[in-house]
Amino acid sequence: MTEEPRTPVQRVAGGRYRLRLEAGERRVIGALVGELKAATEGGTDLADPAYARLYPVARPDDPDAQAEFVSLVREDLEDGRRRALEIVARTLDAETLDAGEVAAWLGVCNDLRLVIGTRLGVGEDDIDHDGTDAGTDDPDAWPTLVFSFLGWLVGELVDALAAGLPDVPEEPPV
Amino acid sequence: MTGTQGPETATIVRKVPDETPVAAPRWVVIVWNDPINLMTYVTFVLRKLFGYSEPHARRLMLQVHHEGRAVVSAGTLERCEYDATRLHAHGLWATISRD
Repeated sequence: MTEEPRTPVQRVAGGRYRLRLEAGERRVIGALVGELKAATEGGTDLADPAYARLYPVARPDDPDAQAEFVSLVREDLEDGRRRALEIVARTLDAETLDAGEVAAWLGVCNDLRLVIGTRLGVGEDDIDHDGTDAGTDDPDAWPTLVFSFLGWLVGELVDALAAGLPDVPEEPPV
Repeated sequence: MTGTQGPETATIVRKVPDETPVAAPRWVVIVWNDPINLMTYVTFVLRKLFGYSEPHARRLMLQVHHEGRAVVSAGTLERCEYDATRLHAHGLWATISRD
């Protein structure tokens, strides 16, 4: 994880994206993907607030409607996340990705940020989570560093994909 | 109704006041502020899912950030369930409520 500014995701010819990540960074992502996969296999453990964060309550004012919503969409949501995890695992060492694979990388990295950020209690206090304050004996030092790295990568993935979105008129469709 | 009045007229007279309240109930999808998602990520997701312009998506994101919530789409319950599901798939904290 160098401090030099660089562009890890770059649109190249043929609608593909070049992925410039160091081997160590790919290993970190691979390990986290493995953990998230293991945690979500056979249904996500929603007793863990970090995973519950991935499946927000859509109808907080109506428990029956919420139960119906869950039975309607939860399986599809879990399938989508499983597919994205598989794509990232499969392309972990790839030099270039297609747009769908970049979207999977973005989804997985953002999910990982949500899980790790929830565990770290980001937003619950005014602790600096950019990784600069964490001492080496702090148990949060490593997750904080990973959280910071994922934030950088998510920002870069967003920039790369946003450049490919169509320009639309200022007024939104009603 | 007696035979002096045509059935069509009676039907029309009764229908008019009924139609307005029958209009489909409107539902809205609300995105809530969360301390983890990046601002650029939220803007990107709103552009990608709803086809909003960059300035409009950014305005909605800033409304979520500063006011704690913003209505990002509206329509039938089915439409809102579909939109909330897509937002959840992207890690955004979205709820559905009656307008």
